[in-house]
Amino acid sequence: MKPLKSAFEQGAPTAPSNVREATVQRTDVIAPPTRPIPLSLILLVVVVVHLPLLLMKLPLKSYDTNFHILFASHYVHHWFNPWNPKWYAGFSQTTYPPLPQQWIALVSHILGLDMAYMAVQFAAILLLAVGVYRFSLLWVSARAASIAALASVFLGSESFLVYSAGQLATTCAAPIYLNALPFLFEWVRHGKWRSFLKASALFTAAAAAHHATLLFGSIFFAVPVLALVLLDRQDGEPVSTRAFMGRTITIAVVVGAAIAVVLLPFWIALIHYPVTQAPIPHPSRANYILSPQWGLNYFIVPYGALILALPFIFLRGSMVTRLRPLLLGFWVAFMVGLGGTTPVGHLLLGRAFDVLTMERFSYWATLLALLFLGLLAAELVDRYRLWAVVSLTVAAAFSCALAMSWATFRPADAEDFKVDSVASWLNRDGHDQYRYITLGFGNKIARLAVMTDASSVDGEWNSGRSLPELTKFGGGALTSSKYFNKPGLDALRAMLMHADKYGLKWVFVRDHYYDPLLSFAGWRQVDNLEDKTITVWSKDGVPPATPVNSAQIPPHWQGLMWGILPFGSSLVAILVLFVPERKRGQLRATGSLAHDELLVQGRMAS
Amino acid sequence: MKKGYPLAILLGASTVAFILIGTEWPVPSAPAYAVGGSLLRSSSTPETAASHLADEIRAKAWDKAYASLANKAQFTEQEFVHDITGYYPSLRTYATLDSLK
Repeated sequence: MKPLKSAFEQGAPTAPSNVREATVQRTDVIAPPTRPIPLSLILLVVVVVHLPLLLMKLPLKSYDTNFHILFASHYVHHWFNPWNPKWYAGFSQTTYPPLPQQWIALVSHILGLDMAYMAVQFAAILLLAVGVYRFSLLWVSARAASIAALASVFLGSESFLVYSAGQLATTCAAPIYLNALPFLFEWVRHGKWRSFLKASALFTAAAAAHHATLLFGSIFFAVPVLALVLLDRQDGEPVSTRAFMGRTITIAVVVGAAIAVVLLPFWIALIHYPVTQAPIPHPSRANYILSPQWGLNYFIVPYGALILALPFIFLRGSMVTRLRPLLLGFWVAFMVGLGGTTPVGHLLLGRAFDVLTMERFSYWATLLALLFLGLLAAELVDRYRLWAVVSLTVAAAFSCALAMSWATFRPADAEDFKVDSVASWLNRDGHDQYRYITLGFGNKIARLAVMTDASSVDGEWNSGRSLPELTKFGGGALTSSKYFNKPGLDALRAMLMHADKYGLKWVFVRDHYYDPLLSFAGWRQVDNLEDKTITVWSKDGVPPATPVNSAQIPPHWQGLMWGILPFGSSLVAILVLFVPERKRGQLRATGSLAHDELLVQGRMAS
Repeated sequence: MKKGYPLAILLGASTVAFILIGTEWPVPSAPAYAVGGSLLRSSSTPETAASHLADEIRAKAWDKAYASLANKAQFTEQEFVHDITGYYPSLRTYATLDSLK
């Protein structure tokens, strides 16, 4: 400000002082803000936007939060024994990567399970902002990268997964993965062993959080980064094709081996007991045009105002050579994320299309879109100043607010209710010697399982099911049988028919649709709870439940591995990040891309 | 044409084409959630009209199913729904449970 004022004074010595002052202020506003937003400020925005909602425990309303808390509660008491008898008469938790849940279990000793979940989720959101910033720096200027990181705080898909879907594993793994990618670039581009070490450790920790993120992230995120190395290989310090191939194969082999060892019990479970059960319908696989209600849920809400940026993403991604690999990664993730709207997901994923849910692909697509959004926002602000800032802020706030409040507009449970009385009933008078199921409890069954000592033959982790009554019909949780039509009711009938075999003596009914079915199956009402809104049904002559002798029970050595290696991988990742990194490579990467960005300045609006 | 535009056009056109294909010939899992079948298929023939009605009944879209009937003046929507689903709590719905022990 001072030099500008001095220059003006020298150029117009006779001008009145009040005009001088006004001109100086105007000059100050006109100067384009080319500096990046400080990362510390972005992290503060995360605190302001997300911390209050997490302290209010808003994610507890989501679909899967209580599922993760149930897994964590098991690790609290049985860190080295992944066999959980609470669901399906027993199932192995080695069927799901454990890292976020183990961190919840650890932190719960201080904060309790619910707040520990919120703390881990909060850490993931903070890490996401850092990861988006670092990943974007590979492609765009520091300023655009910082705007992308700021946009990640308001990202609809992130809020949708956190507050509505409760996909803790996906939202934890993605930021770890994004933070690993710049190290991958540094290793393959410059052969820096420190980066190799850090990339390997972070990739392994990301897999320990969510294996699918690593698998598909390799296609959507890592392949574009490797393509970027090839595109940049002649800039500055050249890298030969042989070195490129050697380094790529080296890290792929090392990371692959590390993941194979760290998640060995998971792979063993997957190979010995592959997911062959009848596919369970999921609305994310719907055609969003034929089923607009699901299009709203899985496209409009996660993308929000990002939809308006889609033309820019396609145009800019096509015009800038080094952005093209990223555009292709985005496009594939975008198409698969559209579920059954296009045949792409079905063609690319095969049978996995009927097992996976598609909203995570939209999440990855939006993460890839963020740096394009950073570019767009930077150019809009340069051109339209305050109007652009206001418009972008409104769009970001709208996207974020819609996704955050979506759990209220479309709650996981049609009606919120407490399961404390059911848990108390089960925990007293020896009722927990028998197994139970619920009908009409929705995803409250995970909450109930956390609170009771009794075992159920129902559950919400479909890949962990082994009871034939549940796997062969294509229904989901028994508690929601009627929503799966005939397959769901067939599974329920089969389970009721075999009640004696599993020690199933109690049925808690909150939806009286099932009353005639229970009556015909020989059950009778014995009690009621919660002002008669929940009835307890029983069957005479059922023997007490005995532990199932399942072949899926992991041996002790697998339990030890499961308790040590995944969590240990996160500790190693944290430790190696303290190894100091030279600035040289990062500056080079940032400098080279700023050049490209300058080449296309102004094209967006022209 | 500016450099890079062909790729943008290719991806954009492919996106539209895939959406059209996915809507006209949905993947097996998609129609389970759809109401009224394909947007690209009209109900101009008796076959497609019957198919749409079946889709709507399967999706429990009672309003749409009832609205598509030509003789709806003869019964109310509630009677129509009851006729399809059975009068709650009709135990006949669960008649197949008779053999359970």
